[in-house]
Amino acid sequence: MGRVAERSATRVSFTRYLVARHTETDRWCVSLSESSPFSADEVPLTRGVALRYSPIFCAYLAPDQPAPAFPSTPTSIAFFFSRRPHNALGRIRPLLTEKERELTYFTQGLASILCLNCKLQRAKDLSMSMGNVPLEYWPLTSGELDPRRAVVEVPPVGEVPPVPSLAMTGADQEVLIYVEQIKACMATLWHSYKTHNPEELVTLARLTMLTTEILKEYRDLSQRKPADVDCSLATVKGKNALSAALVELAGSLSYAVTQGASGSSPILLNPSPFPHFSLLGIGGEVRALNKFTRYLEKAFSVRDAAKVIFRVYSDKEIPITPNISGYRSGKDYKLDLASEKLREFDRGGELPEDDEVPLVAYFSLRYGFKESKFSLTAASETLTDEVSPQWTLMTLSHEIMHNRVREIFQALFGTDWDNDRDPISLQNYDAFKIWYERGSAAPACDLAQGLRNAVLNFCVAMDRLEAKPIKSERGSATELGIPYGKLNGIYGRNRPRATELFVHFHDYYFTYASQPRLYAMSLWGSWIKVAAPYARPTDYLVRTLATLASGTGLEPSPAFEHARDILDTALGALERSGVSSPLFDEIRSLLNAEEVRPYFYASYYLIDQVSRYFSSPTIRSGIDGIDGDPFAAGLTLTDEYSANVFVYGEDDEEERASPIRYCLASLVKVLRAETPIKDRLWLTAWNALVISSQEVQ
Amino acid sequence: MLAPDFCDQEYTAEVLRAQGRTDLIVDGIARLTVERGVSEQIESETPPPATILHSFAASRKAYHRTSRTIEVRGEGVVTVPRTKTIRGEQHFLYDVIISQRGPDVLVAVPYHRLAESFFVRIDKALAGRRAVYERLDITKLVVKLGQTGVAEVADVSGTRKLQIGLTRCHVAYSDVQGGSRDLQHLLMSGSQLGASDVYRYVVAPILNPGSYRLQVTPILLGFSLFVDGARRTSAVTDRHGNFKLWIGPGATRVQRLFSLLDAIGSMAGIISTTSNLPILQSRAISEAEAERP
Repeated sequence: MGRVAERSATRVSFTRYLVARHTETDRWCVSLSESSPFSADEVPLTRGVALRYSPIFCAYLAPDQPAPAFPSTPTSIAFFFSRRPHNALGRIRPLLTEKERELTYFTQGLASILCLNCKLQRAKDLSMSMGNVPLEYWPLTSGELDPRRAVVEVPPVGEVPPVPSLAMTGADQEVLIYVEQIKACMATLWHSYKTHNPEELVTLARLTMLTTEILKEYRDLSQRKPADVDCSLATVKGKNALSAALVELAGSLSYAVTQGASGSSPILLNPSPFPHFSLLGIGGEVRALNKFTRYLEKAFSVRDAAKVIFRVYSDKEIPITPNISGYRSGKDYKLDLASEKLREFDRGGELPEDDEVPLVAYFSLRYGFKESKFSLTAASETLTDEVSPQWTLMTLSHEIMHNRVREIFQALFGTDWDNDRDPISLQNYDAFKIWYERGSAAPACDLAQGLRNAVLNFCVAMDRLEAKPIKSERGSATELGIPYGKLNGIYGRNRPRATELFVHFHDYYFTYASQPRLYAMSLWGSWIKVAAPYARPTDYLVRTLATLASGTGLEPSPAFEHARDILDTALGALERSGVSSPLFDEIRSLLNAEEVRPYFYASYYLIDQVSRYFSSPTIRSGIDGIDGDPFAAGLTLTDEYSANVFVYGEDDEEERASPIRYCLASLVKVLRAETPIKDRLWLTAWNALVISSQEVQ
Repeated sequence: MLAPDFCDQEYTAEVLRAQGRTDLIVDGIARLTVERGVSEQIESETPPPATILHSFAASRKAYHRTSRTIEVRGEGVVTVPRTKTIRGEQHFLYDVIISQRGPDVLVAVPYHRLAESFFVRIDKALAGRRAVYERLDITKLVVKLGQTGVAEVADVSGTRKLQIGLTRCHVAYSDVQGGSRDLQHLLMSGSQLGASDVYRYVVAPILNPGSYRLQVTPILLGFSLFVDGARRTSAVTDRHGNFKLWIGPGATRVQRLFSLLDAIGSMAGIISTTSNLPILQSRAISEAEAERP
């Protein structure tokens, strides 16, 4: 057994670093340390040695106990590739002696659990107890590993269909390279996922279908003979959009490969591109991202927004007022959840999504939290500080909602999958103009048109507020006074604002279960790390206030006061929990500025329509359900959620923790400084461990 | 004869199930205690026989509010908690009751706070001995007991009428669809809850979840064993495996608790085991009180 580091009662970090240095004799020198090899001033890489390392985390903690001692030069390391490490730790816990528990760690990689200083046979027994998981065993001599002596045992994978075929024949030379890249990624991921992430095989199959569809459209466009210049331009535009989609798919799948498949066995042959996770990778974290995303996608899949708009709202007449300045909200807009079982969005029979394309999720330092048509990125900081409000995984829900809202806008304004940014049609312009100018005297229109009108009305109002010094173009109080071409420009400029209101409502209502203070704290806790709120504080303030006021049914002025009070309290609570920024002072001064109110009134008008016609208890119950949540124990309040760092997963198949509820509970604990340990990296990895272990499909 | 110092108050208990030699489990726990008594065999209503060991947990930290005096047979008037100087420091001594029957080991201590630290020490001491914790699926138990809150259970001797009845019911309400939190918790207690119409109303959503908007989840149950209509023993438990019970003088109540667990165990699917230490998930039960039988 290696030298045991001195135990210190004051030690608060439960994170260790597993370091492997390549030696001149083609061996690896393996050691454990309390700090990262790069935390010292001297950088080992300058000596020209290959170095890989990853943080590892003490798996079994007890309240008020110091971190266990660790051997700086272990005699062996057993890596267990458990797909449900939280449950695996629960399974082996009674089998481990106190010493073995102290030498058991979990990681953020695919090799999710590791045991130090155990014999090979013991490792094999533990692997069986975890559910016959893949095992890699490193026997070490004086801390040195001869890679040829490493033992790799991967149990046979059950029946898995072959990689879905993606025909390249007929593909244009221009897109061939992307198709080849997609195919290569699919093959690599398929091989990795069948062992480490079988739930994601469905995602790959659907992405293959999507790629085939895009290629077919591309081929059709290529074969089309344009009749005139306009037609020719439209063809090129269409082809560009399709090839951009292929680029995005290829790019995101490449990230999925480099992040999700690295760290697989044999570990030394599959290094991670993330230098500070280079030894074991971040496969476990990527799995957590996927579980989080799939959980929300699954909840939303029960009601297809496009189907509701096309089949139900296009056939329903509910008037929406065009008068923003005279808008009063009222009881129809109040989300009186206790007394109303179904909302408008839930009516019209079962309308499940049947061709949804799951998002490819990965981490990005460059993009941070971002969403695009086929992919989703989480900030890389989430890998090390997920427990802070700035980098919490909860921010991911906002990005996922963007995807949902894109579908809504596509259904309202677009014609096909990539036309959501197209100009509004002449027909829609005419309908909007009549509705705007005649108000209640206008011919009845369906609800889908009504919602389109409300969005355009909001865009016009916001544009006029922005152009305050310029005299209104309106000929009279009721005349629109905006020609077709100009309305397109107004819509283009203000569409992002409208989109954000839709997204915020969805996030607030569905993910945060309409908890206003927590939502405001989460928003502003994360925004202090983003540039845009500093550049456009009014915009961010208004969308926050409108969201907090949504569903209250209050008249605009009291609604503003209501939201202002909540936000003010939330900012104070953030500051008390140690999250502060000069931006908060700016926001507080804006809360009292009169010029904010007109923006709020227009936003409140729109978000009220969103709240009334897109809230859905059916979907929400799927997100916030506690039926099988082992941590909920029947309790509805976040602060009574029993998830804690001393509790491990159970084998009960019916028990499934909600990643949303878990993340929220974790966030609340951090904001209240109630976490039992203060090691943020450990807590970050623990949260990912729990979320990655949940069965979602 | 068992004569705990704190027999005027409820004890917090956990029931371990050993997969190997149970005597090693008992020994492992006993090693953490001081002033260890002699293990006694107690008569059991149903086989196998049980043993009971009265010992003390030494703690520098005081878990009691005030000291008091009690009369102990053979010792006269004793101030409790007793104290003992260990390595030059004064320690308070609190009862530890360890009882074993078959694969089951019951450990009970007075004061929930003491349990929070002592049970963690036990868990550590038993690491590697394949000991797991028993817990009751209290939702299933409510369903099995139905609207009457009572169910007959089989008596091995065949001479008595055994019944399990509910005496305490703490439920949490959640309006999953509506998101309303108008009603969050409801606590009922009594000698026989099933006799009350209110109980039937409260548990209806648990028995027929599809027919109600509100989701009602039991988080704490008190239950008693009735023998020929007379209440013999009772305990309170949460869904994690934490128990609250009274341990009076003599070993009868401990022995009856095993009978109670036997009776519940005869209902399929109620008792399961967990590797998680129940006391670390004890929010709901920490303030609960056990009924005096």
